[in-house]
Amino acid sequence: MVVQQTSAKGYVPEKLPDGSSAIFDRATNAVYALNDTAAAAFEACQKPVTLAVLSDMMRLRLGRAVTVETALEAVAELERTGLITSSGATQELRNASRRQLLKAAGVALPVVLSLTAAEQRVFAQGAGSGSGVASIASISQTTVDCDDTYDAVTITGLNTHFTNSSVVSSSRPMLMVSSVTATSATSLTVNFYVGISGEGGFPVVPSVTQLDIIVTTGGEVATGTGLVTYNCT
Amino acid sequence: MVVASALGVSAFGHRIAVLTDCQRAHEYFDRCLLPWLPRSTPDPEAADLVFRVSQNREGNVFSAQAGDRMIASHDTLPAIFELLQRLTDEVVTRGLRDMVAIHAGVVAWNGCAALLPGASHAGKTTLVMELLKRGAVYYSDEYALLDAEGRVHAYPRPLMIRDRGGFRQPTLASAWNAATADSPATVRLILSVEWASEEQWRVGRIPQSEALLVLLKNTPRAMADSPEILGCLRSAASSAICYAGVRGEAAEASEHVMELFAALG
Repeated sequence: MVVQQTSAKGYVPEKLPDGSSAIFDRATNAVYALNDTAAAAFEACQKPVTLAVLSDMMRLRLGRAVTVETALEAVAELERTGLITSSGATQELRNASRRQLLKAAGVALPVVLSLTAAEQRVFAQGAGSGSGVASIASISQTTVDCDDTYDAVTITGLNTHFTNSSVVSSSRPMLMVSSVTATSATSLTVNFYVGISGEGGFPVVPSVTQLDIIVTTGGEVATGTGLVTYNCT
Repeated sequence: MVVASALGVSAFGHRIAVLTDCQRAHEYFDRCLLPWLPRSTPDPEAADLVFRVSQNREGNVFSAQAGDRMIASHDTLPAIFELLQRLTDEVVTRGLRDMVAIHAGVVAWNGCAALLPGASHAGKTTLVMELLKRGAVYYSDEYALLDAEGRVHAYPRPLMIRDRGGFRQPTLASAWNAATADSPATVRLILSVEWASEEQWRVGRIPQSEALLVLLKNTPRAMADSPEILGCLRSAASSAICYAGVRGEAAEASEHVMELFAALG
């Protein structure tokens, strides 16, 4: 078996003080995290090497014994993420039980984690919430008349974390909310007054218009588009 | 709105103005909004973010605008403040130059900083509060600001603590006699610990490279647009001992965190 980095991709490896490595792929903006065992194997594959040579080079870098099985597992892990390619002995790489056997023997397993640019952007946009985007699913009062007051209106959220401090507003600021009670993380009961277009500080809006409902809870902003029809005819 | 009071503050190069017709609101925001920064007379024309907070005639409902946009009305100032704080955070953290923001609680002990990265509602504030009770120095309950050397700068906004009625109240670190940081610190611990009910502390070491991915998952900046952020994150991870796992109640977890601080020597 001969293994080698897929260097044409333009990897930028960064060694970290604990022996692990982060690899930035300039072509795709993906980032790979390699523990020290995987990093030693990756570094050894800058040129085509056999499995025996790879094991020796890993041992030198890590300062501990490295078996051929561990080196083989490193090759499998690195090839899985596309960081290296191998030729020959593909059957050996597919030995699914090897990892369990090495783990049972207390061997430091090679681990490669990856984060693509698209995945990282999703985390960034969702502020890392990782639990789905918060939104407003429904409101019990779907039509409101101007200069009228509504009590005990229920707002139902999706992936929300409502509290009694949640702030309820509308896309066009026609609602004057006087009371907010969270009955659960996804349910609010609110009382509000609906202003008159162009009067009492309220903006001028069409006599019939759709309002988005927005609920802000700390850093979480949940929006329901066009949920309420404002009527001031 | 007749402006009775005006408050100006500059944070990391961003100027924020709060104009209000209500003296009580002015005093409240003066006490809570970016409280560690000096106040100035605002120039709304030159400000990056202008809040206008007004009270209705009956004096029982506050309304808030950001620029020309109505953003909220509520009968309590803490609820209005929380929204102003969030918008301020967005302006400050997304506009940072030479630094990158991470969603993380941050405290320090003996000059060593610990990052507690995690999403909103993940329990960062509760854990930070418990660490402050044990004498840690406060940096932030929500944002770690990392520079190119991997040092963390303080963003000590008030902690939003839920009261017995379920309302979140801004609370200063001094409520627990905790000191607030006034200088950057080297990151020596990164603890990616998720809260789970009825769990106990089960945390293990992770490679620094894995901690780098954790930081990337908790920054509001996209690396494809800003690849330079990797330098700040790599520097922070390089100086830290890194852990990941699950925790139970914050009080118990804080004892383990203090042990990790002590082990740094």
